[in-house]
Amino acid sequence: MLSSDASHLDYRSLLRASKRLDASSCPRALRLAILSDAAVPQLVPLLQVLFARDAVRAEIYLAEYDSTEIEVFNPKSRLFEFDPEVVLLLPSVNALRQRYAREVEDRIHFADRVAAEIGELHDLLASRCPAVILQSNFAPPYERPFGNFDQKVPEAFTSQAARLNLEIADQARRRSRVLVNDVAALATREGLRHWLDERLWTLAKTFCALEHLPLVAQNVVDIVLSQSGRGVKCVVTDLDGTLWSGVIGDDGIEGIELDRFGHGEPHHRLQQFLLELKRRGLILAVCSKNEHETALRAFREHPDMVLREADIAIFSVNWQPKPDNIRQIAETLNIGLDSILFLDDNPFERELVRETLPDVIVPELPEDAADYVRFLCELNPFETSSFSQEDRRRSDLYRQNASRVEARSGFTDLSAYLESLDMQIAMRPFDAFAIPRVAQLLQRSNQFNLTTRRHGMAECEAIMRGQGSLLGFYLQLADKFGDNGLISVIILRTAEQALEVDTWLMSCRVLGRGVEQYAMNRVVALAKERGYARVDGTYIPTPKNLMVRDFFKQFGFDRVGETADGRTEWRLAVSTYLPGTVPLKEMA
Amino acid sequence: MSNLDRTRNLVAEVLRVPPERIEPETPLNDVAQLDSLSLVEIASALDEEFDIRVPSDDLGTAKSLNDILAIVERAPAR
Repeated sequence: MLSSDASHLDYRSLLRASKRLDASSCPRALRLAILSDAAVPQLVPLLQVLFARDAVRAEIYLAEYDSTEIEVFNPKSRLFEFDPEVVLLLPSVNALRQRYAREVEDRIHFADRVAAEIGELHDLLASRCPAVILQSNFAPPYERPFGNFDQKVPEAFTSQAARLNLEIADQARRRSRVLVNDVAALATREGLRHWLDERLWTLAKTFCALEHLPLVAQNVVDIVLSQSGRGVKCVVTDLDGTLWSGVIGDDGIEGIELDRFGHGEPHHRLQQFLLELKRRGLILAVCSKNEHETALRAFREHPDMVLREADIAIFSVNWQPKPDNIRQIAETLNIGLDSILFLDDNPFERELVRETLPDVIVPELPEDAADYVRFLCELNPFETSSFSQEDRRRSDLYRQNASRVEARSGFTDLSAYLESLDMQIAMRPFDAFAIPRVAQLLQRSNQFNLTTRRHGMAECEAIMRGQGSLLGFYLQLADKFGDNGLISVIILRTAEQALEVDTWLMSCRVLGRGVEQYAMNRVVALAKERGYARVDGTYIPTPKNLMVRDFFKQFGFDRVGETADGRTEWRLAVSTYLPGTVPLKEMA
Repeated sequence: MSNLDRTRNLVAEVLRVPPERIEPETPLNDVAQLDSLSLVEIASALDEEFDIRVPSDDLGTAKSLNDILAIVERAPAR
């Protein structure tokens, strides 16, 4: 779970906790391998404790000190035998410094050489195992033989190390399975003077001062879990004292402060930061105890507001308790409470939300609004492992959805409402344009997901190329409010006896609009076309996908099996299926 | 608590042995394996506990609890 303050990362307490740790009840296991040229045995218990906080049992393979190349170059190494799901590459700046000291020729290309080797490691790893690669970058070195003039000397170590970090980022951008573990950001944030403890490097080749190792471990946990759907999707913010200084109901619209120059600057800066989050695909919502019209006027008319009405997907401005409003926001947006982050300057409201809705992330904001943004960034709740075109438009999508919900209340007859939406749909085989979003949905969807099989990017590409027995399809939906984008993924296996549903997931924001019916009609038609008499399906329960437990039943499948863990097997005779009517038109 | 007891508790925790097994003059190697990793742990823990900075070359030579205590009492403040 995402924490609401950073005090839980004390090295000694974590180590003590690791001795008591029993992760056997964690529902999910994860195999993580660590390769480092520093000695990092302490990372193992730290990672186990921190993963267990998120109900993940980490099985960790720590390779011998400084054996990265040996492990990766040998296809039969213990690393590959371990079959990791994640490989953490953790080279240290101390080892880099030693190498730089040895290589006195052609130093101007030092970063290029090291980067090329790192790229080669990635390619070899990728060709030998399906793991996600977490490549760490380097803490900036402190040695400056030229003083400030180092900056003007391209072959200086500081210059080459800085270039190397840029190269690492560049390589990761070109490889979808490589993510960056930004050690440089952690080290500079904590302060380089404290980051390395040279005594410990001397004694035992320690990666950094031990007190900072929990940060490295938490960073790894954040990145890994963001891949499996953990993360903030919506920021719900209070108004008075949070988005601006003052109380709009008392002080009036002219009385609130949020200009760039005066007392309101911290609030202005928070708004700018929230706008960046919106650009990166998060949804913004407002939850405030105020008169609706008064609050809205600030967004429409106040000259210093950065956020405008169009940036906010939902305005919950009323006198109801905030937990009720937040629950309703979650329902309207069809997202889990654990993907909502709530900002409020009032400790009472924060505590009430925490007590009532423990899944909501409620940062314990500092007293001084000037520290809000920095505090939020240090918590790192906005970790993600992808950024797609869809993300850039997401906030607008949800906003349209909120208008749809409002429009729906004007209709008593659901089918008349659905007809009025003028919906258009398409189901298409995987193509190169759709694949990044397809892979993202496969990683993230939890609720409407029948089997929660997390096929990765490489597998999706193989499916697209027709390698193996899987067929992949995606669905797009548009209506009069706008384009919903890619909203569903279906993967089918062409088995001998039946067409099998390997994966079926859908974005919850299009629930109840006939998309599933349309897709099932198409799947059964495809089975018929390919000469199958049967469509088989499986439901694999998780803590989050109860909503689709009866999915197959609803389409007339017979249940033919159930295992002790709740997994059910379903079968449909193609000849008995009656295609349901849908209020959807085929997209042009 | 005396400096001796504070040091003893801390060394015992790192070495994962009961504090009473560590007598001031007992060679620590008889109690547990005193490798470079446990020395690093002990150094960091002493820094924090006493707000000092343990010199790296001193620690490498420590054989017993008394040796470590001597380091603590000599070490410069952080």
